[in-house]
Amino acid sequence: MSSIALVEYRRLASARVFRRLASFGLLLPALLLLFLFFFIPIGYILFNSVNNSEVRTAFPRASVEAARIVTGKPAHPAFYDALAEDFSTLKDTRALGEAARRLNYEVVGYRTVVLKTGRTFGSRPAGRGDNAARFAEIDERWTQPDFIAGFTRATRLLTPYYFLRALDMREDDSGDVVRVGEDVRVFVATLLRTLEISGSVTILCLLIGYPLAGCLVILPRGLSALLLFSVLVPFWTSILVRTSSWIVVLSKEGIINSTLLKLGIITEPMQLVFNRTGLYITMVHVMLPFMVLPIYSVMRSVPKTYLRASLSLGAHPILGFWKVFVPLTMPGIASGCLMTFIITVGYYITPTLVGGPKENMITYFIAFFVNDTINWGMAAALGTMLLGIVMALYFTIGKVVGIHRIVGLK
Amino acid sequence: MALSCIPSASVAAGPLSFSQQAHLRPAGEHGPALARDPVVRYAGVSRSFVPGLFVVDNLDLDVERGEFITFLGPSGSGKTTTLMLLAGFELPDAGRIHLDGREIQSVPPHRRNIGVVFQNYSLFPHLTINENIAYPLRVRRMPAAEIEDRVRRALDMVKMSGFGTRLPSMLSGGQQQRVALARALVFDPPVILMDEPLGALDKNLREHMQLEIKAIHERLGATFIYVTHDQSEALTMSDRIAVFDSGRLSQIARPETLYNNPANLFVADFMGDNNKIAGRVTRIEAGAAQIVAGDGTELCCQVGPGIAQDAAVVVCIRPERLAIAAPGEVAPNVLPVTVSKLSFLGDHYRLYAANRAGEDVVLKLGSRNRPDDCAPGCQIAIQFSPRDCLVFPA
Ligand SMILES: Nc1ncnc2c1ncn2[C@@H]1O[C@H](COP(=O)(O)OP(=O)(O)OP(=O)(O)O)[C@@H](O)[C@H]1O
Ligand SMILES: [Mg+2]
Repeated sequence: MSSIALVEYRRLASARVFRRLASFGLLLPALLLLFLFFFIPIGYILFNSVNNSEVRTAFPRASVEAARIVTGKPAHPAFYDALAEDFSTLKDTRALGEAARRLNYEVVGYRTVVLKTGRTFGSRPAGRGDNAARFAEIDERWTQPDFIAGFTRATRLLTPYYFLRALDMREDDSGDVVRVGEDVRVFVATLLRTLEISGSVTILCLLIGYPLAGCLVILPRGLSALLLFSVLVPFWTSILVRTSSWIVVLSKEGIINSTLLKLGIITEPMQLVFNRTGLYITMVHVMLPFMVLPIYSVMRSVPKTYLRASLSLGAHPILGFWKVFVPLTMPGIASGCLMTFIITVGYYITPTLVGGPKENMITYFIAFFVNDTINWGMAAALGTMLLGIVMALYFTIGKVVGIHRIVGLK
Repeated sequence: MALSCIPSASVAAGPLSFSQQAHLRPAGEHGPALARDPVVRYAGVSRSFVPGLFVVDNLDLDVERGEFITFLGPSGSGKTTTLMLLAGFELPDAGRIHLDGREIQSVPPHRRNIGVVFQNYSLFPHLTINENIAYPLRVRRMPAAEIEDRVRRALDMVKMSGFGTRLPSMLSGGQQQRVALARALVFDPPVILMDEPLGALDKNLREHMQLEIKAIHERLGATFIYVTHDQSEALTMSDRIAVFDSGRLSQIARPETLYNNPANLFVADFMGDNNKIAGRVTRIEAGAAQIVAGDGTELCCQVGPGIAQDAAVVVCIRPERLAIAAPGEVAPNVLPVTVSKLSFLGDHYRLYAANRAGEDVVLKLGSRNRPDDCAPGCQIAIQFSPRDCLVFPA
């Protein structure tokens, strides 16, 4: 290679490197944003769902000793010594409160024991006996095997507690995973109900939205613009306003009931709100644009000649619709269903306002744990499960239909 | 007395009978106006999208069984609409359409049993080539074994065996076109419609496909109705060509007739190059006319019966029928012109000139005889035979 060519080659190569750096640099803000506002929060949630640091923070020495306790045996004296040391050096009452709450998840009553001990431990001089006796004196439950086992579980590096609980299960004192008592089994049923409601809303939206999108494509321009507008208007209205107007419309004195009563079709007002019916009506209305828009945009891009070709080949219009048109609109169907399902699974306001107590969805409990009991672990575990379901669904449909087609590429 | 410019013997024995010019449809040797066994008949068919503006205007047309007929015409002349009326995707406002002797206006498109090849191929993108070709057979509920057999034979015919499991998007334009043809043929329709099927292909491939389509037509013996606005494609492929002019059938004839003996100025103009010289008839006698061109030159041409004394006319001469006159030559139809350009095109020269009335004239000269003294601006004389010109009312 001549030296000039070499110089030229190097110049080109460095220009290419520079260009690549430049394009990466342009992307950097977007990547940073994605990192800051997507991956960090998600990672934080994931971490919270297995985080077990409360007790380890409040009782660092006892936590180390707790790891040595043999399952089923009483705790060794060194454990109580460490615990005593921890209690006497404890200053941060907030940390004590959090540890008490965490221990109370494992064994009910632990909170009282811990807080009582925290209050009285300093005022009680160290007795002649060992620390075990001293703790037993404050509250005898400190020596009970279930309390000891609970302490051990609450001091592991990471805990499966929240995920097990989200599946209505727990670890018993011997370390086996068992189902929780029948009266507190609530999350699996809620999760199934959430999936059922979301699935039904998705199917209802598809059944209404597909023909609607078809009308938008077929109708003359003016009419289809009007129709599109009426599909989109709710989109631009506050969700709270929409939901509460549905409550008004569907209530016992609402237009629907009063009209039907006047017409004599019914004799008693129907219960249309604060139950499953009302939830479906309102949710379908709220979610319809998410179904219609992707399907509409795909339908519009399907050339009419395919249907003509199908006709010319001898296929009845209905057959051609099923064999040619529907498959070609599959990416729109997949993307609309996915979007509707994912948003519905995570919907909070409407189910909370319109649904009855029997229609609680998983989001209700997430909000409950975040706002009422400040149980970040449970909220995170339920949220993570929701995320898992959505991801699984996304990849399944993506495998079948092709992700690039769902997101509208090519 | 005959006009001096035409020997009386040759007027009587002229190679082309100009009496046919006046008729839109050829008669006698050029095919009867009404076919004996038409597979398709348009009878007074009209279609308009905008009131009063006919896209297809009172069309009468018969298509013979087994013939390859081409609809030719400029863009927007109604070719596609005429085709779609037959396929059933458009309905006529007036008139009747017969297929195999049966009126078909009330038959829905999927029961007409007509094969259609669309311009953009319209292969179903979600089905493989095999499934695409099997589609018309499946909807006819043929047994699986027969479907397989027919699909294989159809692919063989268009030389696409081995591509059956691919998706249409994995084929080139020419290959997709072949598959579309196979799909339109596989259910043995008696009539196959093709709307500019080669429009998207490059020139070489187009010419190759023209030959293949023609070969398939000869092998199958089905009736092909072909739409194009490429006149050379129409000339090479067709048994007959129907020239459309804004919704009307301008002329329908065999390719040679259409080229050599166009029925009107539109067809003459549309089919190949033509030099047009305006003039006025000063004398008419026994099929010959004396015409004074715009620049005062006297011309002498064979004319048909449609031309009358004192009529304003246009004389059309093909570029290859014009020659350079020897200096001082005394012959009929010598026109003085001014040369503007001479181009060499490999197999021939093109000489661009203008006559004294400012009308452009193009000469096509064989590559053997390179014209001398043809610098731009020089004055020469050109000449043509009275039999090589066509005269139409202006
Ligand atoms: N659906 C329609 N609505 C209104 N006008 C139409 C419609 N279809 C065709 N036309 C008009 O009818 C005329 C003829 O159309 P057509 O498609 O038959 O022409 P064509 O001869 O096939 O032209 P091209 O060679 O460009 O394909 C055009 O002026 C076109 O604008
Ligand atoms: Mg057309």
